[in-house]
Amino acid sequence: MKKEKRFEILGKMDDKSVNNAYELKKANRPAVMRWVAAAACLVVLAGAALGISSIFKKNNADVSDETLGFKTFLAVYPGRTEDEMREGSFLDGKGDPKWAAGYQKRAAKSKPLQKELETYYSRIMEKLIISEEENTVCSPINTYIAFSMLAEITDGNTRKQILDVLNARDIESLRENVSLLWKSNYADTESIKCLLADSLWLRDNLSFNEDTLKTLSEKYYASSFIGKTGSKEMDEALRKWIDDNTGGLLKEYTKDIATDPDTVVELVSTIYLKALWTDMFFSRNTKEETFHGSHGDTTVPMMHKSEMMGVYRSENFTSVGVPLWNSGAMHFLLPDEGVDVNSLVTDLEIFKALNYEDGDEKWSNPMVNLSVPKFKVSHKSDMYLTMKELGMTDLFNKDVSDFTPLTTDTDGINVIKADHAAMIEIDENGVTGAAYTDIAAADGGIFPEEQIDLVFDRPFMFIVTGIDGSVLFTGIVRNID
Amino acid sequence: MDDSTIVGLYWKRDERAIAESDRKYGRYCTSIAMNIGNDQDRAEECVNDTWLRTWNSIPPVKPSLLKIFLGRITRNLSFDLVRRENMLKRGGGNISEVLDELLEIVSGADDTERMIEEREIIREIDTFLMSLPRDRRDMFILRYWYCLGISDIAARFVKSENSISVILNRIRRKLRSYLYERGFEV
Repeated sequence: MKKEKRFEILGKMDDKSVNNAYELKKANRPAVMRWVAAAACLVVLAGAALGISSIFKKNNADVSDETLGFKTFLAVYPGRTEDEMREGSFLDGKGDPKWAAGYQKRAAKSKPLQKELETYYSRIMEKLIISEEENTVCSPINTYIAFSMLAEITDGNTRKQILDVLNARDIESLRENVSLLWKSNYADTESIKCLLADSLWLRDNLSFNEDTLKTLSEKYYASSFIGKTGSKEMDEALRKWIDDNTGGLLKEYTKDIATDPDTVVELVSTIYLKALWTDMFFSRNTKEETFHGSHGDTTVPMMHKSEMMGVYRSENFTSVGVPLWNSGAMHFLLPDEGVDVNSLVTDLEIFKALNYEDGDEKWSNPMVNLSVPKFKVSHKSDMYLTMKELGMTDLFNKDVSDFTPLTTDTDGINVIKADHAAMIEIDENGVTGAAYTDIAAADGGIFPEEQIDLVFDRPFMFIVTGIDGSVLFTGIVRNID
Repeated sequence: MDDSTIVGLYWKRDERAIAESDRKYGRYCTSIAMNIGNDQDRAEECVNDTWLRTWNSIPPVKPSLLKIFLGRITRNLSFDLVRRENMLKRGGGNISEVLDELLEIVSGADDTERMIEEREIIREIDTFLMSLPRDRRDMFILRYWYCLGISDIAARFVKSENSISVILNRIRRKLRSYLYERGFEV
């Protein structure tokens, strides 16, 4: 390691120690010290705007990957932008200041969209994270992208039902929304990884509409893989693809993924997040303390730090957002005594707690002594009923479903599987999360009328937002082992 | 004006935040810049840049200790400036000596994993420093965070320059073996 690096590392020492050393110094300031009076400063506030050129890397479009043994159309993935390459560590005062301006400008693109998405976020959260006993977690943005892809491969009333759930006027505006979400959130830099990936797994004895596959590739960055559905090879490749794009963090769920020989298309969307706290927690402040879970008390490692934080106090809950480096924040929402944490999920006021608003009396800026347990939560939801309850019913009925934009080779296609799995883990460094949505449609399959009840209450709810305010992950922690 | 009010001004995008930061912490930041670069013009440039960086960082950042937040930005900006101007060899301020002394401590891999490893190193250094007597810890921080000259530290602690050098040398060696024992390449 270069000596300059060592100097930078030492610059990150604990604030309190640095302050104490200085205070002591100041109290006994000797005459020999070289203190120089500050000259009057001329401060020019210039918006360091950086033009965004070529967001996406021009590479590997329509590349056939022989190693997979499938005919494949690999999507053109977002590459690192010039401003990302100059990232440095802006918040530390290093690196290129233009980077942050460019990054924030890019991220701001889908900020106005967030208000529109609140209804969807709220509805999907109600279906996926309300439960009676379990810890739960889901990725609303991941399900949004997966359902959007589903809208692309359907038409007529089938598509309209999906658009209604997603609160989109038409397929063009939905496409634009997804494109903005990708551009704002996709990040593959030293300090933040928020990797999105989409794919389609298609049956090889059918012909598919290449225009649709092209749209999915260009607008959704979806790769298409064509092979024998139900085969060991395809199942292995599908599992590997999901594991690769979720950092192997969801293997407990992916190990059971298998395609059906009748499967026409299996649509998969993933998200992987690795974000660091802007100000980390110091491990010497992590203490074994009691967590009062719904199943009783447990001893857990509790992280502590004291910071000035934006605090939102509603009638039912108190919320603080802990910023993530070059990203959004992780918001912790604590229900007031006597308030069921499940009730927060459907309370639209939680979205007000995600964005500071000047003049809103519910916001304050006190010093917060924050205590947050280290935890890891993972959860899998069967979305079959969820999708039906949300209003996407035609998808499940082969007599009325319309998958013509995908293929006209076969009719009677209906959704036979819809799973969503997610995990999240926090520690002194930051947040690691992963999720996938896996929706399969087949001709001739019948979906079992399985009913899953998801109902619960627990000590706190969490929401992880991206730089544009997108809800990347949310969940409820009720017990920690 | 107290720190929370100043941070509140930044948060409200009120430009008085900058004037208040300068009034309260201008001298403090300038002294750090001078310790590193030993050049009045450059120090002023770094301090002005510090306010701009702070303006662009708050919101969303809410510093817990505004003074150290500002000082850290100045420290990094000054270091970058010195490095850019290739002054390391020529030795502006105390920086070249400080860097040579640091050769004896810590090594580190790339990407998010590297940043996590870096943070682990920082945590270990923090734990190590907390285990030192208060005066030893302060000497280390004054030297390697504030880049204060040996003579200034000696005057502060009413000791000879030689004894400060010996103490710092011992702390560096102890820190090196402390990190080595915890699996960090040194």
